Amino acid sequence: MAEIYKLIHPVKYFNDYLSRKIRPDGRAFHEQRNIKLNVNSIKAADASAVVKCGNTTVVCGIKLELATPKAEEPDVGFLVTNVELPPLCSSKYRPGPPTDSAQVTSTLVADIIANSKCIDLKDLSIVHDKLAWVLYCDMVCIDNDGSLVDACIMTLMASLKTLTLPKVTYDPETEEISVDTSVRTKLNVNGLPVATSFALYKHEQSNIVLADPSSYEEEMCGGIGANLITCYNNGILCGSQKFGGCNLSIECEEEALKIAKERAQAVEEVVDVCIKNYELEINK
Amino acid sequence: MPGPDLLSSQGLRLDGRRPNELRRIQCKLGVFTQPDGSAYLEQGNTKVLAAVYGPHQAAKSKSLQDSVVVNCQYSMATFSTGERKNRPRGDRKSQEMSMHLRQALMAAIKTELYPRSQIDIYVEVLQADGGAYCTSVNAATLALIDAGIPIKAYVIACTASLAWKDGEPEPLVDVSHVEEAAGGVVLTVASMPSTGAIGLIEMSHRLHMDYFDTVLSRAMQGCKDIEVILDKVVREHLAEGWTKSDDAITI
Amino acid sequence: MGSDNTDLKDFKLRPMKCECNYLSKSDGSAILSQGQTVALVSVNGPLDIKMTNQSIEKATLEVLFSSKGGKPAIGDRYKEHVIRQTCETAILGSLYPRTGITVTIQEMEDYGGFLACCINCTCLALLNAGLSMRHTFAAVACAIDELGDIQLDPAPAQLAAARATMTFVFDSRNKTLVCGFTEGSFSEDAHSEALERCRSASQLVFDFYKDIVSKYSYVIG
Repeated sequence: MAEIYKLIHPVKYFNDYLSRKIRPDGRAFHEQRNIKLNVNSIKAADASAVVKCGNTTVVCGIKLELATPKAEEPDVGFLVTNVELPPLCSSKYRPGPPTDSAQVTSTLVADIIANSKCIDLKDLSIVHDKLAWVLYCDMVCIDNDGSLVDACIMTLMASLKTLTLPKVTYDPETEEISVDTSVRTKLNVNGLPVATSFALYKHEQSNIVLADPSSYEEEMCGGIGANLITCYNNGILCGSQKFGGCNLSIECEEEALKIAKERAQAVEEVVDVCIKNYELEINK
Repeated sequence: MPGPDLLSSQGLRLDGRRPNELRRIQCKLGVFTQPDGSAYLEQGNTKVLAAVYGPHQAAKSKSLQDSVVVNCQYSMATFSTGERKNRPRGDRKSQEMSMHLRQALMAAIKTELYPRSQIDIYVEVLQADGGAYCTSVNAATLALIDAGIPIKAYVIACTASLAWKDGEPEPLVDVSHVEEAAGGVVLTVASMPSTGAIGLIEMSHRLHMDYFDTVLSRAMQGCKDIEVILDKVVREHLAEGWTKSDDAITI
Repeated sequence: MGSDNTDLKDFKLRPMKCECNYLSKSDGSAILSQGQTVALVSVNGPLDIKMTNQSIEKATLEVLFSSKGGKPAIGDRYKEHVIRQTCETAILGSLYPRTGITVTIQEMEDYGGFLACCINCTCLALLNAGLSMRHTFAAVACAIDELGDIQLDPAPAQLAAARATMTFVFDSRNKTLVCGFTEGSFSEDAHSEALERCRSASQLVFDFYKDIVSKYSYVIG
């Protein structure tokens, strides 16, 4: 019955839930979905992580390559991030070139990583003007159920934190490069940026902030993706994006920032525990 | 034929398997919420995800009066192989794979049941370690079953190669990447083991006619073995589903 | 048609100049300069679109952004997304079901605060096209420098020295936040202070809109 009601009166169905202070999937307004994280499950990649936030699942794999740095920035390596939304992840996407939303998500993720300054690109330089690392970070969404940016950032950071760079020696005279994979150093990661998505909905004169929205909620709130994304790194805001949806009042914003801050700590804990467990396992 | 040394003196393969031994298979049905059917399949280190959407209304230009349109897309994650792939899909190899996938699955799907409709099958290879095509076919079959689309029989794909031991030919089942790379012959068969029909057959490198039958029968035996494993998983999955049907819609 | 409002000395923006109906073939167009930053926007609609893109509930909004070089980039999709989301909230789309509205933005000169200029120009073009809107919207950019000082509507030199830049879009009715996007890292206090400063400064932009519209309506009337 409920399914038919949802089809015939989509807005009223949603409002009926919200007026009883509950979301259609049974969560409270500020409640977030469970997070499951697993690192280094893909052996073909140099570092990888899979994250599942509720149903949203994203796989990140990092591949290392060597390249010559740009002439104008001879001491800087490259960090290339890309988010892929294959048609597998949702019925909304058709086969073909990357959709607009995939490109927007890619930009958002790249911006957050750049703004948080969690990776110093100078660490990726090997030899001045000659050799630098390229980190190809590809995130593939395999199930899109909202709050995509959160999941992408989480899996990317978990992968970066487990990434080790092999030792490279470069002979300036013969220009010979030798890679020693047995000696590996960890990549320096400064802090852990955590993005938190919100959907904003105007319900009977009051604005409601829904944390960690599902794709159905995002759609109902009129956004392609989440309405509000805030990002913390080391307790400092490193990005706050708001797109459409209902207008954001000051109270709502404070509310959202508070949730985001709490979530940043929770996610940090999840990532740390996961990596610690993984390291224990490989050192056994 | 001076084939590469694929068998040790004890008659074991490079990864320690016996010649007629499959790699470990692990799979799960219904892994995702968005598609109508989905499956995850691991054969050794080859890991594949498959999702099925449909049957739904077909685009006007594509729709057929008497049968369903099957649309397949095979894509490999950029980090799935040893070298980084620049294009996950759309390159010639992926397009060829998509086409082969479609041919194999079309043989099994009861296409006449859904005229003017379309079924989308998307396959994503997360890690490739030999036999990515076979794993994709098997995963797609599971996803079709999960979606509840009637098929005539399981479509199972398996590879086989040929090695030499003491001058005697010894066919190898379920070829891994190392064995593929060693340069031996690789025969890929997509078949419906329960009916004995072959949907697709493909071979790389040269093979003497005399040995073709031995290699083919080894591949077919591999298909049969895989079918048994998959059938067990499907039955278990369905039994689970019926006991906790909390999401059933009552009208 | 410059707006040099000296009443609010704290909130000084770079001088704005605008010409509406700049293009003769489109339903509405505007060219806006804020300091040296210039954007050109044309609006077409409501017009007929393909059946597949039609929505029975509201007008389908399409935003196209083309950069100065004309080469499409991934960053452009992000700008389109921002502008589309802004317009989506402002336009009364339910008045034009089964139709399409196309907004085309052409980058002319980028000397800081470009996205804000685009959004303001889009608003003027929408007004010029005569589309029904819930409210108008105004974007204000600001930069926070190393010392934590907030600089409204920054010029390129100030942008280069900034640790964070922010752009906020406000609606004309309650001055609530419609869209906002930031670059760089900053504290929460800095963020809320910048937001308030921009909120007050948005009044200058709204005054400018009024000025422009009254002048044009006088010419027409």
